[in-house]
Amino acid sequence: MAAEVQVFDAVLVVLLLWLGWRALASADLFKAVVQFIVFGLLLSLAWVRLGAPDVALAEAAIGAGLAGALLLDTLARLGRSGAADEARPLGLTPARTGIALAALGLAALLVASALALPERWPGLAEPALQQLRASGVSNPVTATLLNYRAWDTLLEVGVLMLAVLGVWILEAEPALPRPAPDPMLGLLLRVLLPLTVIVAGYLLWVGAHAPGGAFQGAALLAAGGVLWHLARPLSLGPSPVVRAVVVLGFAVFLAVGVATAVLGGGLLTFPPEHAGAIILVIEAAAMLSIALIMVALFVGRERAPSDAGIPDSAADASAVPGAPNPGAAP
Amino acid sequence: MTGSAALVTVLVVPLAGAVAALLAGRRGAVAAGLLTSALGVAAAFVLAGAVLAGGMQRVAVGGWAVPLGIELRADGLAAAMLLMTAVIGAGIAVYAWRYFGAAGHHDPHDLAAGPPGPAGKAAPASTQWLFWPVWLLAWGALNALYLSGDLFNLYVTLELLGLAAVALVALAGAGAAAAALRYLLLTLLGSMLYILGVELLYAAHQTMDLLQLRERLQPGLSVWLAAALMTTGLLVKTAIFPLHFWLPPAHGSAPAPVSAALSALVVKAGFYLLARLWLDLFGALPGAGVVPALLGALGACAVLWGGVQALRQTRLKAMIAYSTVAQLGYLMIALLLASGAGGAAAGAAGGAMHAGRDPGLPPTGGFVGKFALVEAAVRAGAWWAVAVVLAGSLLAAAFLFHALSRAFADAPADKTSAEVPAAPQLAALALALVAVALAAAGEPLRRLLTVGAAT
Repeated sequence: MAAEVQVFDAVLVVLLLWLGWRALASADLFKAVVQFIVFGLLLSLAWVRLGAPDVALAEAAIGAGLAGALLLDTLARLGRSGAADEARPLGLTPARTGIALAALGLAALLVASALALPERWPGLAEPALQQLRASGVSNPVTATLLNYRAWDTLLEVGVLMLAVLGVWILEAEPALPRPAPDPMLGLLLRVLLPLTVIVAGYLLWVGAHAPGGAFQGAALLAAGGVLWHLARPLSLGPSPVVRAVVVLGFAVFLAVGVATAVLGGGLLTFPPEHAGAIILVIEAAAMLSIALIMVALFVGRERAPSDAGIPDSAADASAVPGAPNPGAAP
Repeated sequence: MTGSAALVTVLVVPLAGAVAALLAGRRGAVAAGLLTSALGVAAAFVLAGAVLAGGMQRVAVGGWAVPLGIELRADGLAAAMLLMTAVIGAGIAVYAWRYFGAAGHHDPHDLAAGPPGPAGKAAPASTQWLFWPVWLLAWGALNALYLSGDLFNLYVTLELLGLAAVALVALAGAGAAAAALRYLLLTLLGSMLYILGVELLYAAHQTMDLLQLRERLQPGLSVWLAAALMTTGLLVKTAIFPLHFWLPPAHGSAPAPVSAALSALVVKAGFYLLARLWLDLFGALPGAGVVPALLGALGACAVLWGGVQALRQTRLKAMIAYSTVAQLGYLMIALLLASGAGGAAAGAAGGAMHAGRDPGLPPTGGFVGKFALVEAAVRAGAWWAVAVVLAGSLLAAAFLFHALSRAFADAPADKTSAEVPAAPQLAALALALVAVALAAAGEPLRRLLTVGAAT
């Protein structure tokens, strides 16, 4: 058994290195993106092997899923202007050789440092487990994210919010011409969307005592949202409702921080008997915000085709009857 | 208000202001921004008073002791940085009020980042109000950074700050997108190097708290590698010569209030962290003295190179961008002097933070800062540093008077000068007065800076 697992690990490492190299060196951008997505999926397997299923879930959903969708969307935009047809300039220039040597040197130093570490190092696992009873949840990862180091997580939710503000600031992109909606896509949406909502809710709830939580649930919800956008283009610009949902998670988290500082024991200090409920409220709000943020990152700020002066054929393709995209209406 | 309550208020005010500005939307964002600025300045003064009176203020977030939890600490240096950020931030807010208020404000002489035409046009005015939530988040990130005592938490604040700065640069419109993207990639590279170092330190010492780490630090390969990675990452973020190349395009193409925020505040955050690392944490390592010496040498190169480049620029904002490069060099020299002389010279480092881009003429804070720097250099016998500071000041005088001579010259008859609204002029005048006031406040500031300084 142990030998088989070791063979599996070795194959995983070799595959990861090979896919990473192919994604960098492939002359075809589309191939490179597909290899990057597979790389992400295998990386999430590596996280499972390292005993970090929470990270594995996030890596599969965000690293491979959402990032892959964003890259494919970018490719589609490049393809329209013909930029993707140009071969990627490959080959070793002096600068690339220098960067490669520096990276290899750094990797060697990192391996040497890692080998110099003691065989087993405790980290902070022991105090984290000792305090688990007072944290309000029984999953040590959730306890760390939402209680011991809640201040980090609050700021991280702010980082996500900033990402979507940055996208809104950027010049609006002309809408991509989309093929007429496939009826199958609509059917798939009708089946999958309720499922993603249920599973996301489950992940949120189960995060208290098993791998899961707001980020994982949000990633799943976002996948449903992206599918929705593909079937019926959404418009997620800075309208009041979208802004309110985007800010919700950060605002609730911050409000809890202020309330605990003013009324209770201090900034983000949760009384143990209410900690579980407080964490669930924060996570539910954060999940909604993060999910919408991820979908908004994918949708971007599309300029309505009529404004962009794009030929009518493109406008027709994205003008889906009944789509919540006011700009696309004739 | 107790010291710890003031600390929490300083943290919360800008973040809550960002939420309010985002919810208020285009019409209410300005009011939220200005109100937040006023509250933030008041909170920073209260905290500085508490630190001056009661020494270092500490807050254990969540009630968890280190190393499990995160401790926030306000010592003299942190309080001074918070105060500086709040005052400059308020000036920027008043200036931005008018700048972004004028719909589609765009000065064609100001922004030569892209060719004229569609590629160089300003972002649609409909998103300009997003300056307010993004700037307030950047301010919140700065305050969180100054107060954090935890290496991982510092990484999160760096991420928040970096992303906010990139979004602010992007406000200049499509012409600035390339500069913003390059800035994003470099700031992410800096963060990545930094976090790699943090992980190595955590693996070897089981804590990410700065004070605890200082006690436990065991010299070895991983510690030196961590120090090198974190320093390189922060040098990229701070735009220290020769890693400054991203700064002039990013700062030069940003809207004017954003350039001011980036030059005066954002890059200083990287320096602050470098100073904390090398004065508080790695300074005790055997043979560690060579690193500040190296950084000081880079600083000297930055002062001279930035000064010469600034002299060669024809656009005011490009000149200011290079003078920022030079100014960051002074900070590195101050870091070297402070590391040699121990805690007492932390005042010199802090003083140099105020060595503005004026040539250091009395009676401004810039003069006091440079005077403190020269004084420390003389005391340390570092005559090369004295020479560099004086040469840098001469260069700064040269490019500033060159720019001023244009301002005072008669306007060419064929150009009609645009009417400048009162608010930005008042903001600039107020900040100039603050620089003068710093000269008077030099002594209390010096006293504040020595609170909790590493011995």
